[in-house]
Amino acid sequence: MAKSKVRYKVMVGVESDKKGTRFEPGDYVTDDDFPAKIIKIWLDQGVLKTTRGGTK
Amino acid sequence: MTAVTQSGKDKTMRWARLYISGYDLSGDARSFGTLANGIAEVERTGWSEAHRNYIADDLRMVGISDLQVMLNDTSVAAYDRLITESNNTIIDLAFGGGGEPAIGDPVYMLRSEQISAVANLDGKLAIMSANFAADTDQYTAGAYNPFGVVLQDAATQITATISEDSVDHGAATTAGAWANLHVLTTASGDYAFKLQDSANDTDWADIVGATWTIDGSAIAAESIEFTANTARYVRFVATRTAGSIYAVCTFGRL
Repeated sequence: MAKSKVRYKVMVGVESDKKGTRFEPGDYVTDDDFPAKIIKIWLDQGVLKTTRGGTK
Repeated sequence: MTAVTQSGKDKTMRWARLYISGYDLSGDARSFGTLANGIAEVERTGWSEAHRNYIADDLRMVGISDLQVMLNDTSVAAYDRLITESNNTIIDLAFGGGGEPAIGDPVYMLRSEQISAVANLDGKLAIMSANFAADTDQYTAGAYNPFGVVLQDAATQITATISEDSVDHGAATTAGAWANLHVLTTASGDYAFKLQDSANDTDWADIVGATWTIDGSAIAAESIEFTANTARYVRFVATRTAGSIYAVCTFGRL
């Protein structure tokens, strides 16, 4: 069984130049979408919010 | 896109550019006195030697003194724009390094009130002089620092959705920031404008509050400010719906 990943709700638009992806407010991202360091910063700033549960 | 590098000690009057509320008056501008950037003082001078004191009141003192322009009376040129003293103007005086001001070049930003429009003769040339002070109707603590950088340069036509090169400010800041946008020309432009920030110059977030109301459909200028933490790298983003424009965006941290 695959380990579930923590997912984060996007509060403002975010995007990755490297991957060419963009997520709008209300979308969800996981640790696969952005570096852990960036996710930590964004969680501190309120750009992302932790959600209950996860995705497979 | 990557962060631009600064070009160093190559700023000259030849490549200075003056934008006033959506109009490029560079070709008419000749010189200016000073670009004020200090702390206002409360004068206590009285009719006695015992009162020769000043007290800093911690209010930023900004403004442009003795801007001198040619008395160019063609439409939307210097005379046309400056003859009626106006508050609610937005001024950006950008300093190009060996060329047109580019992304990353320094700029003096001012939410201004024009307080004079004096015509004169300099030798045989008809000129106008103007002074600009901070417009109290527009000014807030969020716009006290007048020195910023160019995030979108006037020389580059915007014809598609773009994420411009970023500017590396060395570190994140927490006191907020402000930004000016001038739409200089438009050909049926329909755009949305915003700023993004990044800690690593790769992964970007829209800055909360860093969007403009103007949409590129007409010559216009708008100054915005925001209190959000601002990461080390900042860039300008224009999202196209239609048309093409020339625009200038400037950005200053507090």
